[in-house]
Order: sequence, then structure tokens, then C-alpha cells
Amino acid sequence: MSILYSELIVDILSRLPVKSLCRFRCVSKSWLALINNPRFVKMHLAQTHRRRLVVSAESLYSVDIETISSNDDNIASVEIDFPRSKLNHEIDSLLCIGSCNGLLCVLTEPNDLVVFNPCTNECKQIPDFRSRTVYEPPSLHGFGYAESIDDYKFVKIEHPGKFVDVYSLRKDSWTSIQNNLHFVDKCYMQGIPLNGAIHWMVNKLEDSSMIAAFDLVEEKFKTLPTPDILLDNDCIYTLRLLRGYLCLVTEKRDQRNQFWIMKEYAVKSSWTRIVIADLFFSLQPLCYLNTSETMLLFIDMQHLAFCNPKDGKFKYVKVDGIQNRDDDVTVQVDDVGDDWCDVDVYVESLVSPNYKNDFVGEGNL
Amino acid sequence: MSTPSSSVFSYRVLKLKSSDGEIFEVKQTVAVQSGVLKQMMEDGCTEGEIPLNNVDSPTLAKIIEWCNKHHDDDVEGRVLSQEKEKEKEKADMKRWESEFIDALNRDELYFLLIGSNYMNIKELLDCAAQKVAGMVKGKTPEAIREMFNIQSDFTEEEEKAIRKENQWAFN
Repeated sequence: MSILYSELIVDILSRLPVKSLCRFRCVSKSWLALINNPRFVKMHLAQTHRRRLVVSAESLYSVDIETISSNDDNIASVEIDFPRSKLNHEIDSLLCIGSCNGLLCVLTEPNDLVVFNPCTNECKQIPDFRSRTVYEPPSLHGFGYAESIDDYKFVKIEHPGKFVDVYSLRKDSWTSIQNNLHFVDKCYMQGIPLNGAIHWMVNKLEDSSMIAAFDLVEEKFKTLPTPDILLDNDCIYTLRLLRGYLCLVTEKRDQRNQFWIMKEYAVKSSWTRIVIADLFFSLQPLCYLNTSETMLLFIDMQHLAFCNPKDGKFKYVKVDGIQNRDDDVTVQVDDVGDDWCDVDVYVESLVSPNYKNDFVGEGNL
Repeated sequence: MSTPSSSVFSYRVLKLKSSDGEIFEVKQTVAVQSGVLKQMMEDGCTEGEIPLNNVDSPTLAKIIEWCNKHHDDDVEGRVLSQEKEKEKEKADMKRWESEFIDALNRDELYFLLIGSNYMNIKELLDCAAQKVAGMVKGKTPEAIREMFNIQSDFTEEEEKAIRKENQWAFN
């Protein structure tokens, strides 16, 4: 294959799984430089969309979404090999509290935050991260990417919400910014990264809910329109991400079979209602299965289920390979009958939490 | 309404000349799948033989077979088929594509990759590159060196270190 031009080799490599590419770093110096090149990393991210679930249940477990079929009753998971030895202290448990471009934000008990790529096994501890209470995420937090400045940022807002604390992965430092939007926080809420901003559903002081979007470049809040449903304070609204669209899930008594999708970013009229047949108390739409309209959902913080596109009915599915937790461990959900407590989607990527490769081999692509 | 002039156009053929001198006649409506030929048509420079210096005749024959399968004679006038039929058509096409690609030996595949890249036929290039990616993804660095004819330029110590760093990816 020596006859293949380098542009074709780059094209072929951009379609490979991360594990193959890590192995192929050993082929030659020019392959090593290519695979570590930030431009190649971005190209690979755009080309391959191999999605996985991360299940936080003391340890982290990974599920390959691409091989799941809606006929499955059980799906396999593997424990993610978290590089505990690279951190300074003993770790009791792990909780993923953010996911963006293949990087996970992992809260490690007792009290540290680590940016971690589970595919390359690279990690970086965020310095000076301390939340007030042990093993509890800050009330509002989120992790996202801003393309124009090529930076990942972790954002947290602690009670009472006067300040926004922003950590830049590129600069490896924190800044504290006056909150330009007045709202009262509600509870533990993971923000949704999309379009260079992190989104939360929050309550204004005047008692109505709104979508707050924290722009990661300008570092200030703007608001997005909500659908024309009654947004009052008597129920919980949660934002999610599905197929790159912002979703709004309501836990209203009369709306326990539906959620909303914002088909066009920031366009009020684009909010579309998705009705499903079965009822839920809480719902997290995760993703669509490969080449089908079957949705994978996390229901009532307990069950994974497929949602049949024809009749909107749920089919529950079990995850194999997750180990039983100790009885005395406190977790954040009421019922952990199925031995897990949190689920998120991530993509396989070569993105490094360390910016060290920035100037190495940039010209070689 | 009279038919647009493109229908007159559609019966015109291009004469493609492979690197080994063979002439292939291809309808314009089929040839338009190649970004390069499409540009030439738009520029009005498709008179006479069009030399394709990077594509030999076995490869060009394969490329034309692919393009013939993938073009629609009359997209505008076709009645939109039912959802189910469309799904079936899509699945049939996927099956045809994988049979087409799987039937090639390694050299044929490489030449097809180069040819589709040269003629800028995106779907074919995607399909061929994906196939090669599937062939290399499980291989060891040694096998890759052999396949791509690469000499390792690491020193012994460097190679040891880089292997150690990525050891997990060998399991």
C-alpha cells in the first residue's frame, strides 16, 4: 500500500477506533506525530461517531451503543480502567458529571474533579476544585467546549448564585465572574453543553422558569425561549441533549408521557413535542440506536429502556457486568435496585485533557 | 411546460480514456457523480477524449459499474415510493455496495481508492476507505509497517518507551 498518498492514509486513519490509533502510534515517528496532531484529532472526532454510555455506579462502566439492537434484553458493559494510581489519594467512588467530545468530568470521592478520556486513558486533575460538601457536585455545573477559542471549560455556580466559577482547561486556571442573570438555583443540575454554551433550566426570582445559556467565549448568560407550555414552579424541568438537539423534560402530572425538542437552536417556534406511550416520573433521553428510530432512554433514574418508534412503548433492558455496591454506600437516587445511579453518553475520541501537544507536529498533516 | 434542456444533455456521452489508453463511453448523467467530470461539464470542456492518467482500465471499469448502479435516470419524474419501499431500496443498495467492495482483492481496492479520490467520487471513496479501515483496525504496528511499506524510524529505546505508554492498546 506504499502507493497510497498520504491524504488517503489520513482519511483511512480518521475512520479507525481510538484503540487502533493508540497502537499505531508505535508504527513510526510520522504516524505518532499525525495521531497526536490536534487537527487530526478534530478530523477523527468529526469522522467517527462511535458512541458509548458511561454508567456511574461507584466505578465507571462503558457500554458500546453501536452494537446494541432493540431486540436485546441484556447489554454488556465493561468497567472503565480509571487511572487511580495517577491521583494523589485513595478514591472510593467515581461519578461522571459531564461529557463533551469524548472527555468526561469525573468527580472522585472524596473531593476532586478529573477530566478524563476513557478511550486513551489520559486524565488531568482540575486544581483547586472544592465543593462545600463532601462528594456532592456543586448545585449548578457543566462542562463544555468552545470551538472558536478551542477550549474546554468547567463551570460551577454554588449557592446563592452570585458568582460563576469558570475553569479553563487550556489556561489550567479558575476565574470568578459576577453572575449577570438573577435566578434561584433549584437542586443539583448538570448543564447541557451545546453551541459553545452550557444550558440549565433555572427559576427566575419572579417565579417563572427559563433556559439560561452560559456562553463559554463571552463568559456571560443569555436566555433561550421555552416552548409555549405553562412554565411554573410546581414541577421539575430538566434539560437534556438528544441527537444534538436541546430537550426539555417536564415532570408535570399531566405531561408524564412527553418531552420537547428544540429543533432549531434558540428558535421558539421550533420546539417540537415528542409523545411516548408509557408514563414516567423522570426521563433522560440518551440517544437513537444506530440507523433506527429506536430511542434509548434512562427512566426514573433506574432503568434503561428502548422506546419503540411505532407505538411509543418502553422495553426495559438490563446492563450486565456492573458489580454490586456495598450496602453502606449512600447514593443520590432513592432506589438503586439495578445497581447504578447515573448514565451519560460520550463519543470515542482522541481529544487529550492535556494541551501539551499543541505545538508538536502541527505542520505535518 | 417543455422539458428542460438537461434531458437533451442526458443522452450525451463522455469519452473517458484510462491511463492504459482504453476508451470508455459514459452518459453525462452518470458521469456527474464525479466531482472532477462535473466541473469539466460545467466549464464546457468535455469535447473529445478525457484522459484520466491516474486510473487504469480495470479500475475505471469498476468505477463506472459503481456509478451506473448509483445514478437515477429521472429523479424529478420518479414517483416517491412508499416509506417501506424506500427502506428496502436503501438496504438493497447497502448490500450491493458491500458485495461490490468485498469482491475486490487488496490491489484492486487500493487502485479504486486512488481512482475515486482522483475523480472525486465521494460515496465510492467513503465506501473504499471504510473497507480499508476495517482491514487495518485490528492489525499490529509490525503488520501495518509491512502493509504500508513503512520503515520504523524509532530508536530501540524510543520504541520501547512509546510501546510502554500505549501498552493497554495491545490487549
